[in-house]
Amino acid sequence: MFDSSEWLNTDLNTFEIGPYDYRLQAPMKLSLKADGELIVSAAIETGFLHKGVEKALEIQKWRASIAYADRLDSSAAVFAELALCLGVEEIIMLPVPPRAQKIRIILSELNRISSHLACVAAVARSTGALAVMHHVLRDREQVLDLLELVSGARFSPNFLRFGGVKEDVSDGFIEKMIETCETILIRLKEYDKTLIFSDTFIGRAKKVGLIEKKLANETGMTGPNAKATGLMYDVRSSSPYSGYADIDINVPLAPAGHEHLGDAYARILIRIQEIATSIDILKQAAEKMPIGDFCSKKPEDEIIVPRGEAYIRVESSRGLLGCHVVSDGGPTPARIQFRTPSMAGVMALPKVLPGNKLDDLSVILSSMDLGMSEVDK
Amino acid sequence: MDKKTLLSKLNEVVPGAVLRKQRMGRSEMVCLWIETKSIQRVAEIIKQDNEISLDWLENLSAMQIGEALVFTYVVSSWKFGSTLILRGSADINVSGGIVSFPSVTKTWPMAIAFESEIEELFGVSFQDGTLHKKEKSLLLHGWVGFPLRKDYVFPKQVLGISHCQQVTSNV
Amino acid sequence: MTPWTSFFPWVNDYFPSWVQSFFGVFIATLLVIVPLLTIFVYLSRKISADIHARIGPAVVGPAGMFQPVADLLKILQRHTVVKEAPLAPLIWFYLRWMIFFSTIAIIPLGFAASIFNSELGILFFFWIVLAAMLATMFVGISHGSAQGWFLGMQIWAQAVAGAFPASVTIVCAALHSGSFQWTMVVDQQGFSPLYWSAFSNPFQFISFLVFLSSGVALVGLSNILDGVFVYNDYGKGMRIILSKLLYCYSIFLWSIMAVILYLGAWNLPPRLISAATYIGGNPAVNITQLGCLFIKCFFLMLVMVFLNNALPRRRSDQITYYCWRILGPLSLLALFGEGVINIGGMLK
Repeated sequence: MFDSSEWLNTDLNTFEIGPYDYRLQAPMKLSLKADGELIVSAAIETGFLHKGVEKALEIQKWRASIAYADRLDSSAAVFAELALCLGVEEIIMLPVPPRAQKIRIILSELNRISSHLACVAAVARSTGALAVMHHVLRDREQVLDLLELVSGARFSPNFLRFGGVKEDVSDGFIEKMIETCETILIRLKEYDKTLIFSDTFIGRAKKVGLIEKKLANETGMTGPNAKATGLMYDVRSSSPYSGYADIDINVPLAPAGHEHLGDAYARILIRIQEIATSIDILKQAAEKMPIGDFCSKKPEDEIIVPRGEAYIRVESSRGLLGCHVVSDGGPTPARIQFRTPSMAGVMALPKVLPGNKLDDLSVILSSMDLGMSEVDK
Repeated sequence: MDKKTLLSKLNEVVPGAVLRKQRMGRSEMVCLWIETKSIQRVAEIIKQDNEISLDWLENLSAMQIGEALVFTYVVSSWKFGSTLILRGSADINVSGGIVSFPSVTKTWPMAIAFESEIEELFGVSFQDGTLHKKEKSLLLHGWVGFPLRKDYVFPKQVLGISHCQQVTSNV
Repeated sequence: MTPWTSFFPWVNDYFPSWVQSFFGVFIATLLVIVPLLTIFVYLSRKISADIHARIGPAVVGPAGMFQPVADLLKILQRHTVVKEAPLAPLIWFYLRWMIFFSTIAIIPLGFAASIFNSELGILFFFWIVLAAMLATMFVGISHGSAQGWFLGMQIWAQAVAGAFPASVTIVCAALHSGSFQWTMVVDQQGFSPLYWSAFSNPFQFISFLVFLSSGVALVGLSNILDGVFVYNDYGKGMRIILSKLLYCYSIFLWSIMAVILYLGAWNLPPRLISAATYIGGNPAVNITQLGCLFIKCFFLMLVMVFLNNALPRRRSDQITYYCWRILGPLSLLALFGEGVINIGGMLK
């Protein structure tokens, strides 16, 4: 009755997106097969931001390696520095003065706030809420100004040293930091009104890019993406490091059975709550900041790292950042390997994208906050 | 499950697999050296046993020590919060040659990302895994050699672009 | 003979009416539309910058007033270096531009400034806009790529979804005025907001809001196609200028339709008409009417810019859902209500 050659062509369409595309947050290549506007399968190719950081770390001397660790991920540079410093300090058995520990906490949390604000701005941009995007970036500037006040650089501070930090914080820094924290807390309420509770945004982010707890488990996902699925893991509370043991941390977690569990909306909510948690930590660190040295080693002291190794875990803005430091007693590191949290997100992507619409691609990618720089190293 | 019980269980199920037990650096984490051919079996056991349940491969790193490649598996349990470190090694038989090592992707699917990177940068071929052989994704097309090996020498030119000389910093 | 040619009666002796119309469209585009859209681009950039807590254009000229000119000069120098433009989408691109700008011939720009005043004026407008959106679909489809097909079909689906409530509201407005003719629509309204169609009864107000919202779906999305193809594939300078002009013009078109149908068009207070007549006769009155029309139109366009910049954007399928499931029934309700009011009026 029907000649099949007259039927409509219903083959799947293939879309090659990337490595540079307005929908992507960072260079990567997506090969999508779509049935109309519904994504059916996805394949990801990464490697466009491979810088050879781990090889560079082996070539430079120990002290210079801190600057290279910064380059692992520009928007979350302090965490890589911190992981490296903690690893070397463990091998050398170098104590870190309490004041330096608190300064490290302050830098980490400021970096976390900056990273999360960038993610919120990216999600706002992907949903067309340009006003919110600009407002968030304006508020982020205040945090970056604080990082610049401390270290001289907004993104790659190169401020931590083995045994502490490069120098003490300047007079008035703590007061300025508290003032900025109060401003951001007020702004978080504004984001609630203009973005989070907006029907249009909820419609764009609800049930989009659903990640189930099982998938998060299988891929080893950590950080806000995992917390949004109900998977609780935060290194700051489970294995406190660098002075976090003195700090009360209220880790946000999506409650089981929540209607938004695992979707893009939950991921943004968790990040906004983490900003509030970080502000709380900053206030506690400021209150508990002791007087004392900022580094147990002087700049002119030679760094001799004996034979040994260490594996350090740090809670970065994207999740668990691991650092495996190996020394053979020589002037340069034998091996420094980073376990980056975004790798799990990239692994999960081929299972997250199918079932979503093509128009939601940028919302999913921006809400997952994948740091391709740290994936490719 | 405490480490002694874990060790005895492993020795019972896979005798001779555990070559040595040591501490990981100065931390409390236990590191077990595992015989290369038993890596996959040990991985299965520690994942599937309900009392061990080490189901999360947190990290897999490789490093060259002398003429051997050492693989370090950091495995954790979502259920119990415990961590164990496994180690295996393989000799680099021929300078510049590919080293074979068993894959653990069938037990821990998240190992795919780590193994893919190690294959490309260290010249390893992980066997009996679910990793699909694909073209190199990190290094430029036409790259020769394995950069993270200690004997790797940077070529003077790559795709017509001169490579700057290796400089050791004075910092 | 159009009202404007009454100022140059010798034109009728030398040029046939089609030549007069051609030059009329050309002059209207060059002297009225393009400068207006340039001012609109500047104002929208400044307003959106203010909403975004930015400064906006501030360098070229006082308060950055000449930024559009600087951008024009810069974009005109752009060349594609990667590949030549494929022919089929290029043809459809220019065709779409021609279709859209042919509406200049039938936009009523004041009492004496209509080049073409037909009894089906509003409907002509609507069908030309729909034809232009069809041409937009073909720009994408003729590209031959999966992305082109997808974008083209998406734009057409949204255009159809927006066209249905828009067409119903146009019928509603015509029912209120008694005709589809522009001059009849304008005559039914007065200068005071109390006499505007939009506020004459609740159903007309609903019709006005539905008309505006459906315009977003119908004409507001052609920019996406241009963003993908014009800037990437065949983005020589003039083509980029044309596509930017087209985007602004489509918003202008829909706003001017809304102002004429619902917001009093170019009606002026009687005293202002007398004053203008005293100062400069009919030309002064026409220019004042034009000014009134454009001020209202600009205001509406800037409201749309404000909403576009302040609120998140809905997804394509959400827009079509909104048009079919919410705007459609509302437009039918408005039509039904207006019909009942009309019958009630007739029975009296």
